[in-house]
Amino acid sequence: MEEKIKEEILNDLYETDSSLKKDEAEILKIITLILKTKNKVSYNNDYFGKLKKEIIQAIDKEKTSFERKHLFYKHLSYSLAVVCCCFLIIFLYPLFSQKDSKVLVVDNSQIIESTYPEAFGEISITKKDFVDGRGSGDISIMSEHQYKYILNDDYEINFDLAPTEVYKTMPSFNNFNRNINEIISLDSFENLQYSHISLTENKESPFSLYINYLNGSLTISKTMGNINSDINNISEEDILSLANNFINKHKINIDRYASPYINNNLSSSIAQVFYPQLIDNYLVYNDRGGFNSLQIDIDLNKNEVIALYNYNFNPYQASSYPIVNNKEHIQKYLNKLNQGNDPEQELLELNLIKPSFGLLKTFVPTDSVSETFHVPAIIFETDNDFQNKFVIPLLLSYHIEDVN
Amino acid sequence: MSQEEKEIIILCQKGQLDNFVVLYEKYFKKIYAYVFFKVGQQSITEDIVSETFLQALKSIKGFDIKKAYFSAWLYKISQNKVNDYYRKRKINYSLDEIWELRADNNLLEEVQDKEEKDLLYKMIKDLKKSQQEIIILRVLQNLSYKEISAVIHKSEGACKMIFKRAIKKLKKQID
Repeated sequence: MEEKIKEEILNDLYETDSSLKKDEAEILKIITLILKTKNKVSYNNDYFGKLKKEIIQAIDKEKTSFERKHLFYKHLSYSLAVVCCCFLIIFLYPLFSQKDSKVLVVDNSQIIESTYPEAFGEISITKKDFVDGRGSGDISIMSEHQYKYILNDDYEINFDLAPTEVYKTMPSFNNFNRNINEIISLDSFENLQYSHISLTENKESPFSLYINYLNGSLTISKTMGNINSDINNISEEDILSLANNFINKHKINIDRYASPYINNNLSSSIAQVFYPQLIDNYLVYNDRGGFNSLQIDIDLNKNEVIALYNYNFNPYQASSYPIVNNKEHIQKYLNKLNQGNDPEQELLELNLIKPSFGLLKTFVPTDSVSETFHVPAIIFETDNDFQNKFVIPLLLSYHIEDVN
Repeated sequence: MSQEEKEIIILCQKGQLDNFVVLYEKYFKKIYAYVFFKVGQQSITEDIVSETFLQALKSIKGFDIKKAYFSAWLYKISQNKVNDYYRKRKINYSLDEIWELRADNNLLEEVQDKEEKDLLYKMIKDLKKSQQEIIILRVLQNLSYKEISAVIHKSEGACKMIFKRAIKKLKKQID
């Protein structure tokens, strides 16, 4: 054995430096001398046995500790599993329960935060900025005729009832964060911007939900298969029931909307139910006197709701502005409009009757994106089928600018 | 490292620590001799060997079977324990001094020939610490250069070179 070790050591040395071969005798002498000391190292057998016993005791101790730890973690894992199950049942069940669905994380309460007067600066409205929800247009361009607007003296206007505040649409990030922060702290992320969520049912012919947090709107639409143009005979009452049932089933809060009305075009296979929007209990109009509305489409072949559009849940900021508060201003405004007509063209008289107050939805372009305002307005009914409502903004600055 | 040894280590790491006794029996003598050469006294050697094996038992779960030799790992533990021993006593470790101081104890007493005793002392005295370490590990402990490399944290090539220089130096002293 010792000879083998010597041989290995020598071979290793020659591999490194073959010139050492000539000194092999001396090298062997050195190695032998060192190895001599090795053979003389003796240990006490009692010590060997004592240490072995000590190691076995340490192993037993270690094993007991390991088993205790294992048992502890086993119990701990069971306990945690039970706690997790309870958590899942308590917090997640409502999310998936049909009865208490909270999938739509929207704030249904109308948040209107008042701010100081004229906080939004100058709001310069031109007719082109009027909004109908599907685009803007100048009344004179939209009309096929020229109108002469006549204010009917039979109606008194009580301006005490007019709104006096402009409502500016605010981004709903904070609103969204407030809900989601109950689950995760979005504030802990850097410069996080949420724009929208898309959700789709996992079933045949599913509904897709598109929630836009930038403008605070919700759209629900169904993926349609083959469209059948056969139409079932269905009463308006039943159409309204279908729409209301859909709203009730999905617990869509319509506190921000007035009573619905139907636009049932007999030639179409889709009926539309409109719920006019309310802000601070004022109806919201577009520039042509139409309502800004939540719209529900109903497939008259299958008698089922296939879409919901223009549901609005954004908060608002409100600021008081000087508004027109007498009939003369309105008359002056109408005179100005009438003066702009082409004398060569035929004029149709448009009688403005039944005045009421509401809000006119208008977009004001800014450097980046246009801002949406809802300004106080007076709304007249007319005796004309083409334009059965006529809206006049009541912002004093608008009238001064327009009249002078 | 043999396959059998690997399997024993894996069993230990899985909690079947009874198998550690096999490793103890296999390496006791080598570690004892290694420590004894470094400290030269039986009682101190026993303390350090005990600490080495108990430490190894405690730490075996952290031993990386893919990266290291168990023998080298065990030598490293005992080497650290020896260093701790000298550090605590604020003594600079020097093999020649140990052998000189312990000349009357059993390390050298078995080398009967006075001439041989003197020669051995002379040989060890002028070697560098790293050369002494490699002489012990290669000649007395019969470790491979791979194992030595793992204990002293030098490449195999460097270990071979150190050993060659140590032998050349020893040869000069004999001359």
